[in-house]
Amino acid sequence: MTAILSVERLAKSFSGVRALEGVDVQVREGEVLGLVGPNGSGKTTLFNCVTGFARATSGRVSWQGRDITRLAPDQIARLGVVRTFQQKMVFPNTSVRANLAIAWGAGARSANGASLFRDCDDLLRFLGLTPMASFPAHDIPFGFARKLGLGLALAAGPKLLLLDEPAAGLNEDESAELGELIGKITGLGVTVWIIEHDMQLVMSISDRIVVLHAGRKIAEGQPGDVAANRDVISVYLGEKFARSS
Amino acid sequence: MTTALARFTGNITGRYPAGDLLAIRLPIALLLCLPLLAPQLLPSSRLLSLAITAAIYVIVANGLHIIFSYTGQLSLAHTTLWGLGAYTAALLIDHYSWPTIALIPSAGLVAAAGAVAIGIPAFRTAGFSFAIITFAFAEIMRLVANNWTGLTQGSIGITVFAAPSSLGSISFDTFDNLPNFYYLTLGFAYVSILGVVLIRQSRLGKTFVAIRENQELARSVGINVYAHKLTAFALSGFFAGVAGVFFVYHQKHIEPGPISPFSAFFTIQFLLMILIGGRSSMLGPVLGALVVVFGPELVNTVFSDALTPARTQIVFGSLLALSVLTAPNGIAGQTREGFRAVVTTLRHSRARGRSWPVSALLALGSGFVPWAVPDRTLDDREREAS
Repeated sequence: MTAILSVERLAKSFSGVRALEGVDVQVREGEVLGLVGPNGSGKTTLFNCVTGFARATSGRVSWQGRDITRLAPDQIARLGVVRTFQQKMVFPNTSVRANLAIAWGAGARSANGASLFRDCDDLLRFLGLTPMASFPAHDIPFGFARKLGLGLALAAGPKLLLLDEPAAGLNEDESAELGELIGKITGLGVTVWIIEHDMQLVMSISDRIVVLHAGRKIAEGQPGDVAANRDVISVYLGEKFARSS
Repeated sequence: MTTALARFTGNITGRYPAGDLLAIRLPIALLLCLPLLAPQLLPSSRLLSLAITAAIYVIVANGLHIIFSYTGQLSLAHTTLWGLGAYTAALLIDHYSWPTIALIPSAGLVAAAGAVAIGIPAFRTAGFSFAIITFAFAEIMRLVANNWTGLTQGSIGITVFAAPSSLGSISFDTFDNLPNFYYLTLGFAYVSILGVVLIRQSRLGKTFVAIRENQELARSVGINVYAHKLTAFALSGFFAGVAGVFFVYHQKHIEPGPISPFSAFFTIQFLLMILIGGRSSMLGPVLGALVVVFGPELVNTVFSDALTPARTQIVFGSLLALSVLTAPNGIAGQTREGFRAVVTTLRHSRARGRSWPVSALLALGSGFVPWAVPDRTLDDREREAS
């Protein structure tokens, strides 16, 4: 498999604090790549740099061979690299359907005509949000708002979807459902790069996993190998994975 | 029509957009026709002149609505763009005697260009910084108008002695044919309302609102926020510029003084209009403009003209403060909330088996005491759906 996105020696400092130091990551077409690491290890910063929401101090991000390091977030999104956010991010006073319609009209779909869904109603069905299509987005329960956030990214027509802790705040059932949903999304041919603290979820859905610690990549590989890696266990998985398995 | 009726009879849910209901659209349409009768209804040409002022304010406020209410950008340069349109018209009349048909698009475009020129640096920032930068540009424009005496005659201003006074064979001279001039201005006020409605319902308008609601999210799905803000600002400037032409026709004079479009007084007054009328409604600016123009008259009438102008302003200002405190969503927003409360209470009350008269009484009451309405929950909706 070929790499569609490659991150090379990416570094990012915030007024002297080094959040990322020379990170290399290759995202291969069609895979689910997990990104894990303790809080403050630079996961979200890495996503921010890739999607243009933060400017890398040095290094390079290329998408399908094209340098996108200095592009604006909306330009990157229109190229097909779309992210979601950790927080509940929706257009609050707009109806659920209108939320999707906005993203539908703005993203990569409009830029290159590529579409994963026939129309917004098709996407609503895919997400299971049809019954609440006409409710204002701030009025729907948290779990559904999360799905809507995911739906907004999907409406934009991504080729690569970056999910920033999509399971945060969800209960076990909702997490499992989210895992299935991500499976369906990959089935549509979308490559997924996911930050997730829910180890069970990330281990079960990822083809490969990258581990960050203090702004450096400390491991990369198949979920089983990464879970067995001694560095990884010592900095991160140790207590947490032991508890959940 | 049948679908509208079906909605009205079968599907009045509290969440249904109130604007889609025949019950609320029809009265609004009738009220919107009322200004057509103003020349017959208003007893003096002074009041008709006030109505013209109101119509001009409606155009300006509608422009501000696009950038302030929809896109969420607090522009403090909006009325100055109105002044820019007025100067453009005054100069083109003075030097080249341009006809109305050419003045209106020119003044609109000059103000829109002014907006873009301000927006290009100003939209690099957001929030209060944006407001301060637009204020700085407004000050610069005022200083230029004051000091470029060769062009603007400085603080003396430009008096327009020969404003166009007819359109084809129809004369709208402000001395002899004031009603005609009123209708001309009113026509453009209607066009500006239509413009706001069309923009709000277009994809462009929905994108403006999305930017106001969550700028980062808008970016993440591929919306070019900067370009859309500039577009919104240019559109709002166009409205202001067009209003500038009517301002010059009506006042015959433009100067950068303390009660001109270049003053902070007007900047505040127009923001106030939108807050009073309602940011969330397409008709908010219209209601706000009417209140600001006719409110002091009403106060005077109530006190039988016994107040000095300053005291009228004190009373009127207190009433405004009171209205903003009690109706934070503006007149339009509060009316909509009230309407929803009536409909919801009526349905709930009927569902509990109370008789029609009792339900109607409760519903009417809840219209004025909105917090008495039971909250609708998702369970309610699911029950209704099934």
